[in-house]
Amino acid sequence: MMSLELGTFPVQSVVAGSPGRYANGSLTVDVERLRARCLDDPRVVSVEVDLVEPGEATRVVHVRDVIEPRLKVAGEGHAYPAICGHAPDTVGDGTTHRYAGFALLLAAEVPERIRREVSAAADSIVDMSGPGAVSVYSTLRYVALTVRLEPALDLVEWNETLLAVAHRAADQLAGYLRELEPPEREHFALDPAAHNLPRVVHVHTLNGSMVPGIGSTIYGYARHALPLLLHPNEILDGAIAGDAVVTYPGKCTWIQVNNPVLPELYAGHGEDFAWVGCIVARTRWGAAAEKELSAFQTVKLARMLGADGAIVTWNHGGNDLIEVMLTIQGLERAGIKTVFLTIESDIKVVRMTPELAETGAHEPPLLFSVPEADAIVSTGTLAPETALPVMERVVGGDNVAFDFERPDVTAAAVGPLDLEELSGAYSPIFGHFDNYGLGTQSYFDY
Amino acid sequence: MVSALPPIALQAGGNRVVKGVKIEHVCGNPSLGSAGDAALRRRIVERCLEALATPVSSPTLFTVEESEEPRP
Repeated sequence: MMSLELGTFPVQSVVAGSPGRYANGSLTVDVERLRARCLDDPRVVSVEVDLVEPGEATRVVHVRDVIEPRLKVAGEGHAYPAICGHAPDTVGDGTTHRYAGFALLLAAEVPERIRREVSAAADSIVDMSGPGAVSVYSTLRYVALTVRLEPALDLVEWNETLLAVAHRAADQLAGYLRELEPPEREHFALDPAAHNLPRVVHVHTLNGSMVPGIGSTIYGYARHALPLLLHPNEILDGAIAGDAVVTYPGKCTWIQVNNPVLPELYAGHGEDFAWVGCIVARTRWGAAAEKELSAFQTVKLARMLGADGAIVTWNHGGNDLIEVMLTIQGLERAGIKTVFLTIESDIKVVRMTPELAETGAHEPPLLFSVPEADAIVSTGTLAPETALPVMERVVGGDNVAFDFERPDVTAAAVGPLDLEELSGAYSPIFGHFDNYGLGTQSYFDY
Repeated sequence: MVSALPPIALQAGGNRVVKGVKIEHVCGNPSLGSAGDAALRRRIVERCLEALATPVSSPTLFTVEESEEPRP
């Protein structure tokens, strides 16, 4: 029913210049035009534009979102639908152009007031080289926007204004690809598969914010809601997007369209199994009964889809694991063989030594588990062993505060940064919460 | 202990776990109004005292009915 062609434009270099264009792997960014577009809102006080490359002695701080610029050139709707003024049409059909290896990075310092309101709005960093460069976000080229807004904006308006700036910029950069022939094309459609193949569903659990009005969105919808069936092409076309407040990388926009689970399932579809789609179930409900209800309804949808097997993923941590585990339990009890893809979430330990990797921390690797969760694939865990060194160049801000329980503990972003000393419950390295296994922080391959 | 997330508390070996209301407000429910909230909080505390007086041999869950009428 849906047929999506992704036209990919690999980016091997990014330079400033005019006019902005893409040619033969080289992206020329018209910085002044981009800045002007970002500033087209009286609530935006200032925007700095920096170009950032992997391998540089550069540290980006106050990372709020990473967005892959995408442009729909055929088919209904707008890439990243129903946010930032984009139309709410159903996406996933037609042709979408995208860059590979390149993204727009949004950096903004969190106002003190918002930091108090949302405890998880701590600072995060992306190091482009050195021992901190362990996540996939250290491998991309960026146009980095450092944005300052009117200080009086409330939380929801602050979030929406920042996202609008970032998506205006991303749309302009994606516009360079309008008339071009993509060097690479991939085609995605869930063509009918042989009836004897096992039916597999992707249970794509997705954190919903406990703070109203913010959080990752499905077609712009952030609130907790009962599970929803999405065609994978909708996700590949940006139906799920991040917010600009909480910097868990599992919630950023880039990972949603680059989630490696989706192409892997496509690769097996029609060969090893029949993929029946993605059930997107929100997590982090506040009451135990709500967690149960969400899990039960997810299981019901999987049964209605005739699933024989399920791959369960999540994009967060903490108490979200309860509904995830209850879902796994219900799927298994319904006779649906289930595998769970997860980071080992004992993320409190920042300085991970090989010895500790061997023996484990004092905490269990998963906060909660059920006996039915008997097939788990780990995407690894934790952080670099050593302090992060001084970097020649810092983009995004001057100081960092990593521990929301100790907001007065700040450090100069230039470093050195002793993460164990400065961090609280979470590693501040953007991408450490590597739920889908794109980084290199695993100590062992199993 | 009173917990909004009894599965974790029980799995961690909490011997007497009283089910709280919600992560955002474990020991009450502001949507009931101040009198209703106070009554609920009282019932939760009373349930805790009953739990303490109940012999248990393994992690045990005690629940509080939110809709229950306040006791005279």
